[in-house]
Order: sequence, then C-alpha cells, then structure tokens
Amino acid sequence: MKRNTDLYGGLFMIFISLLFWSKLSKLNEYSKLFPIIVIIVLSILGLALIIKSFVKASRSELFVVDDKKSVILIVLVTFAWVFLFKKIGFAVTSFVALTSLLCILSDKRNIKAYFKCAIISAVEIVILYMIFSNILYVPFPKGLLF
Amino acid sequence: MKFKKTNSLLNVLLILVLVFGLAGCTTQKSSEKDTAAVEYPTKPVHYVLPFEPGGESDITARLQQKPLEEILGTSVIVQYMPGGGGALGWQQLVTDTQPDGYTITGSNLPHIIVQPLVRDDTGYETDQLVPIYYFQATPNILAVGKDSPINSVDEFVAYAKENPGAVTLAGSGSYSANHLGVLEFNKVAGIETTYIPETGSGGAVPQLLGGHVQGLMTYTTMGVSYSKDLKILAVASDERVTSLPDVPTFKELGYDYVEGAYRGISGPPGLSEEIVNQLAEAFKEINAQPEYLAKMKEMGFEVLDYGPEESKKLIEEKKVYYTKILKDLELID
Amino acid sequence: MLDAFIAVFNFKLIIFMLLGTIGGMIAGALPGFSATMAVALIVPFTFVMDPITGLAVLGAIYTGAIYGGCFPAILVNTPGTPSSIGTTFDGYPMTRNGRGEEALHTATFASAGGGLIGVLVLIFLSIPLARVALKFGPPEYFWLAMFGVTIIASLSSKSLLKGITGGVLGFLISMIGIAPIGGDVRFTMGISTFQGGVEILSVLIGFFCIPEMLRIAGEIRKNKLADVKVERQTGVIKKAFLNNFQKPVNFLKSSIIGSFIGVLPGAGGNIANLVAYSEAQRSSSDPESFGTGNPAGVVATESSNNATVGSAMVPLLTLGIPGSPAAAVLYGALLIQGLTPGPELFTTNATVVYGFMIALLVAQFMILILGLAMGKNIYSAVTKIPAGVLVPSVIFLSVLGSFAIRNNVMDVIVMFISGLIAYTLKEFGFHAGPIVLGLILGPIAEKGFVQGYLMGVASGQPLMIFLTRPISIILIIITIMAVSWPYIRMLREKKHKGVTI
Repeated sequence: MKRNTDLYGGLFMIFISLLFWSKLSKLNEYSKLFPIIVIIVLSILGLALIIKSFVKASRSELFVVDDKKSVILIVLVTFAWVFLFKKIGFAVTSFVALTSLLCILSDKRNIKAYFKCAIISAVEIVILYMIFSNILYVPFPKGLLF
Repeated sequence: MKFKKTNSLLNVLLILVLVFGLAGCTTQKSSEKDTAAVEYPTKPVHYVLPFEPGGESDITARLQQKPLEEILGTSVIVQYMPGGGGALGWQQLVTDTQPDGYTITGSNLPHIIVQPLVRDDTGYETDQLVPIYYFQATPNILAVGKDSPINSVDEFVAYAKENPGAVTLAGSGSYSANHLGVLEFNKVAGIETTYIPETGSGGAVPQLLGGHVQGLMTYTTMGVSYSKDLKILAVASDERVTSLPDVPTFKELGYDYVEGAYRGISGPPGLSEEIVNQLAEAFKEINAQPEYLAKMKEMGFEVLDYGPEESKKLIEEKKVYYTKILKDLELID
Repeated sequence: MLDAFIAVFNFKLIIFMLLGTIGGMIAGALPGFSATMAVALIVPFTFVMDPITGLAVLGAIYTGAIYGGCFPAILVNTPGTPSSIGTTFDGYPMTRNGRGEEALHTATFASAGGGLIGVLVLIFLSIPLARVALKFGPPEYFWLAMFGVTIIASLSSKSLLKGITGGVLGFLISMIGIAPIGGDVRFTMGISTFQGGVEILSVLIGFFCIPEMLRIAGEIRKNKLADVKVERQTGVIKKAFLNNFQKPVNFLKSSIIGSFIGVLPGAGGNIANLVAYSEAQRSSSDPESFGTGNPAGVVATESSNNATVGSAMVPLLTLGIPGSPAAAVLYGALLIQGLTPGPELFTTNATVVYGFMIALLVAQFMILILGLAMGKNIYSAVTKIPAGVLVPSVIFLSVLGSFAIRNNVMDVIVMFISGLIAYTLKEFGFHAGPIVLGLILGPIAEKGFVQGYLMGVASGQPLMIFLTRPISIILIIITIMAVSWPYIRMLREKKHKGVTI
C-alpha cells in the first residue's frame, strides 16, 4: 500500500521541532539564539511538507523488503546487543549476538551450520579483540567472563 | 569452491595479523620491564585527556609520558576524550572507570568546580574526582596585538571605558578561567568588555592575529608561544612569572585580579590510597626532573606540587572562592 | 634543502614511513577509528626518533588514514573516516554495479594525486595562504557554512524540499551539547553523555552502514550473486588512471578546493570532500549520473580529502595553529621535539620543515603503490565473503568501531539508533547526505553566527557585520551563484532548445 511520505516526514519534523522547543526555556540569550532560528525554519519546512502532502503528495511503498523476518530479527538482536554491551560485557554479548546474526542469515538450517556460525563468530571476536584491545588500546567493558 | 573462497580471506587475515603482530611486539616490550617487584602497575596505564589534542593539558601530558613510563615501569597511553569542555571525560571517570589505577584523567580547575555549580547535569560532582596531583598552572594574561595603540592596562581600561561593550576579548572556553577572568576583571576595573569564547586556546590567538577581536584573555603559555605577535599587558598572578619577566602583574598595577587554570590528574572514586600515593610520588619525581622543569617553564607553565592532601585543600578553597564569584556575577543563585 | 633530501631518503626512515602508511591505512579503514586517533597513538613512539623521522612517520600515518577511509566507503557504504563520506555516494554504487575494483583504483590515484597537490601547496604557498586564512573570522566561517549548505541541492536526488529539511534537521541535532557561546548545556534530554554533543563518527557509521546492511540482509534470499556482479576485469588500473587524468579539470579543481579548505582551522577533510563533490556535479555535463556510480564523484571526493592533509599543515607550520585535529596532535609532537611551530621554524629548523614536507610527498607515492598493489586483493577478498557473513561482521565492526571512538557505550547505542532512524527516514525520502552535512556544518555555522553577532554588537552593528567584510562578500556572491546556477542552467538549456527548433 502506498503511503504518503510527505505527511509522515512533515509530521516527524514538526514533532522534533516541538521536542526541541520545549527544552529552550532554561537557556541563556546566546545559547538559544541559533537554535530558535533553526527550530523555526524546521517547523516551516515541516509544515510545507504537510501542505504538500495534501496538494501533491509523494507516495511510495514503505519497507519493501524481500525477507522481512530476517531484517526484524537482525534489528532485535542488534538492539539487545548494544544495550547489553556494557552490562554483560563485550565477549559474551558479542559472541551470542554475532552467532545469532550469522545463523539468521545462513541458508542452511541445521546444527552443523549453526556450529559453523559459532566458530566464525568466535574467530572474528578473538582477532578483532586482539587488534582493538592490544594494538589500539581500547578498554572493553568487563562483564561476565571478560 | 568453498576452499577457494576462504583461502583469499585467510590471506588477507594473515597479512593483517602479521602487521599487527609486529606492531604488538613493539608495544609489549615496554611493559615487560620491572613488573617483578611492584603489584601496581602491571598493565599499561591510560592517561585520559578530556580535551582536544594540542592544548595545554596535552603538551604537559606528552612531556610527562616518557618519565612516567620509566618511573612506573609500564607503558602510558595518552587518550583523548573531548566533549562538554571536559565534562564528558570527568563523567566517564566517575561513572565508568574501575578504581584500579589503570585509568587516570587530567583534571582542571576551575572547570571541575564551576561546571557542576553552573550546569544542571554534568554527570559528575567535584568531590567525586579523587585528586592525585596538581602539577601545573597557567595564569591568565591580557594581551593585545603587536600593532595595537594600547600599551598598558591603564590605557586598555581607559579605552574600554570610552567604548563600553565594544572591546572584544577572545579566550578559551565558557565558564573557564579565561571566561571568568574577563568577568572578574570587568568588575575590578569597572569596565564592560565582551568575551568571545573559542573552543580551546588554539582558536583564540588567530582571532586576534586576524584582527577579528581586539584583545585576548588567554593563558601564559599562549603568550610565550606567540610572544612575537602579541603585546602582553599584564599577568593575573600573585607574582611575576619567570617565563614572562617583563610583564607586570595586575596586582602591581593596582588591579586586584588573580586568575588562571590549574591542571592536575585525578582518579576515579574509590581509588585506593596506596595507588594514589604511588602515582603522586611519580608525578612529584617528574616535577623534580631538571629537563622537564626547564621545558615547562620555558613554555610558560608554572610548575606546582600539590599532592593528594594539598590538592583537596586547594579544591575546597577554590570552591568557596568560585561560589562567591559566581554569586557576585549572578551566574548562580 | 639538499640536507633535507638526504635526511629523508635514508633506509630506516623509509621503512618506518612504509609501516606508518600501512598502519594509517588500516586505521582509516576501520570505521570509528579516525585519522586523529591513529596519529595520536603513534606520537609517543616518535619521541625516540629524530625529528624528521618522527614527523615523517606521523605524516605518513595521517596520509594513509585519510586515504584508507575510502575502502569501506566503496566496499560497504561506510565511510572509514568522515573525510570519505562523499566517496560513498558514487563509490558504493560502483561496487554494486560490479565496478568496485575500478572505484578503489580510481580512489587511489585521486588520493595520491590530490595529496601531492596538497603538499605542493604546502611547500610553495604556505605563507600567503596562511595570511588569507587568518582573515577568516566568524562572519566568514558563517558564510562558508552557508555555502556548504547549498551543496544539499546536489545531494538531494529527488526532493529538494526534503533535502533542505534534512539539512536543517542535521543543524538542529548538531546543537545538542554545550553551546559554543553561552556555555549552556542544551537538548541533552537527560542523557549526560550528550553534553559533548552527538558524536558525529557514530552517527556516520549508523547513517551509512546500518541501513545498507539491513537492505542487503533483506535481499539475501534472492539470488545473492545478482547483487554484486563480480566480473573479471582487465585494464582496471588503466581505466582508473584515465578516470582521473583524461579530463583533469575535475581532479585539479577538487584538489585545489581541498587544499584551500584544509588551510582553514576548523574546516577540514570532512567538508572538503562534500564541497568538491558538489562542485564536480554542478560543472558536470551529466549531473544526474552522480550518485549512481559515476567515477568522477570518487575522483572529486578522494582528491580533495587527501589534499587537506598537506594544507592542514600550512597554518600549523607557519603560525603554529593546527588546521585540523590531527594537525593539533602533530603540534604537540613538534613542541616536544623542541620545535616551536611558527614563522621562525622555517629559518631555525629549515631542514626539519623541508624534510617533513618532502616526506609527505613520498607518502603520497607510498599510498599510490600500496593501494594499487593491494586494491585488487582487498576487493576480491571482500567480495568473496558471502553476504550472510559480511552483514553480521560489518555490524560487529560498527559496534566495535563506534565504541572505540571514546570508549563510551552511549556511542554504540547512538550509532544503532541513528541507523534505524536513517533507515526509516530514507523510506520517507530523506537521504543521509543532507542530514550529515547539516550535522557537520551546524557547529561551524552557529559559532560563526553567534561570535559574529557578538562582535557586531560590540561594534554597534549587530547584523551588518555579516555583510560588510570583503571576504564575507566574496563568499556571499559565491553562495548566491551556487544556488542560482541550476536555474541559470535550466534557462540556458531552454533557450538552446528554443533556438534549434
């Protein structure tokens, strides 16, 4: 079903403008000078989009994806990954997440394939950990099992 | 088929591992010295600077890096974590850093005192930073261009009185020593100048050189670096500084204005006393090294020795001082 | 001068530079790891080296890093450094058209050539350029940012309205954090990490990488070989060479744009590549092909960004003012070596200065040779990775990379959330380019505007100051020309068509 992208876009911009506008009160003269101008311009543009959506809308199909299920799963897994990254630690979250992502996208669905995913995941994690931690000195969040 | 695919991938991986292995070897060597006797440190120490590279904190850290490595017997990695005028680095220090002594963060006065007072949500409180050592300071200086018709502070004040609000002074940061300095000086001299903040000292000097502002309220180090391009009218310290012997103090000239930035190093809350003292000793030793001392003084830094206890006292004193100033200037209630 | 030559062409220095170049390339190719970080990491190692060697190595790393950013940009639509944002616009489509190797080699020639011009500018035009750069005060930076905004027109393929809106959105988001003037903390929405603003590198990774990875993931079930046509290509290197030099106007213009923008402190590779891209499109005889895989786009972005390397050194060496954050790190390194950047440097330590410049020249040849040699292998290695392994691995790299920026988990979250937002906005017709442009230009525009306003207030003419300074006026004229050019062109074409009929 074709959706009115101008309408959605315009509404989004108005929403953002209002959100930022609500945070202006505590600011002093110079801190709010430029933001006020930008928010006003953004709202005008948002309104323009909304007007256009009624007059001459651009319509297109949204989220035309061949394999919706995989994409949604990937988003969910990565979501969990970034939010648990600090709490559970780098190694465990990355291993579970990366293996899951590889499995989601693998064409074969059997234990052997999943096992291969786990191996690839482990190898990648070890190599990149070595590079980032020992050569680039990036301290990773330590959680369960480092 | 499968075999061929993985082959070239392996090749690339192999090359990567080799290159990094080589790099890794060179970095491992320095941490293998002297790990026998001491419990701490046994791993590299991260010296975090919550600012962009190239500033006063950075230069000091670079000078300290090698001596620190030698004294501690481990490698010292300088990392930049800019943001929020330093707040981001300090917030990370108090919320996200293990108190194991392997991450220490450069800290500045008045920043760590003034920021929590003036801002709603800095993410840290002044007292959460555990002061280890405060090792340098840069008093403020008032400078004009080489070709400026103004030759003394009195002339500057006179000019400013004739043109209220019109005189522009560039400096580093908002609510920094430069910024507060301008406000304090305005009060003491009874004038009204406009402060133009730059993000970092390095940005302020070009503003003057390009003729975009009329003067600078910056640090002694800038004065020394650009001595050929600037006319330094006065320095805001109790006594004249050795790097700028011909520059009078504001006090000498009758203006009760003393201001500047102190820089030191802090650890996360909960850092053990032993480690604090060990690090403090290390910085004390560095401060005594003649080469380091000479270089720092040459560049315009005042070298100080505030150990953990003295630092705490200094911060307390400054807290009272700045709270009063901020109230006087009506920046906080 | 001769001393400098001899100093540079010794075996040890060359080897170190080679290692530095490779290291820089790898660092630049890792999204989230910037050129500045790479240079900063190696600075301590240079203290044990003599000044020329130390500086040569750092210069090599900087060069390598800015060049290295093109690899992920072309191969997986993720700029390795912000200087390669523009390279994704045509580089990645070229990969999708099966011309990825050509794109890589084109980028290599462009980078080496552009870098060469940047260094030549450094060698011959330092002093006059530095003087001009000093004259750029707040109002000039504001107009420069406004000129930058006009680039949005060339980046918004379908809807100009949406493009401009995206740019303004970017402006607004760039205001999160501490106000440059006023010092208040703004729009943090209760997240204290936002005090430092939204980290542009994580937004970059999120905006460019995630949507593309999600798109590929969604299409894997289809015949995946149809996505990347990997044909055996002969004569790719020659094609790439011709892309750059057969009609050299684009290349030369982009390099000069890069050289000039690199000199301005605070404006660097990030902006140069986009300005050059926009100019290339504007003056092209086939502007609609930009964004679909036109090599000229890659030439423009990669030559301009490497030109900024040499020119960022201009203010550093002549005035002691770094032209970019990486140059600021070099500033520290110079000071430690006992060299005070500034005009005297050319007299008291001429050998070191010229040696550094010559070393930078050598670095350009190094990336040329390394790039041409490795380009094919890297391309075939990456394209042979099955999409089902590539997507998760790139996502993994994005997570790591965004964390590596400043060891802050918030950056990883920002990366992913902005990725999702970008994906959704793209569906609504808002492309990443204009938004990212707004993010980059926002702080420059604001600082220029408010500082200029303050200066204006002080001299009694709050807003007139923006219209009365010579360089400002020049920039305003250029901006107006840039905005009206497409319309003038349309009118011209209509006139032409009218005559022939």
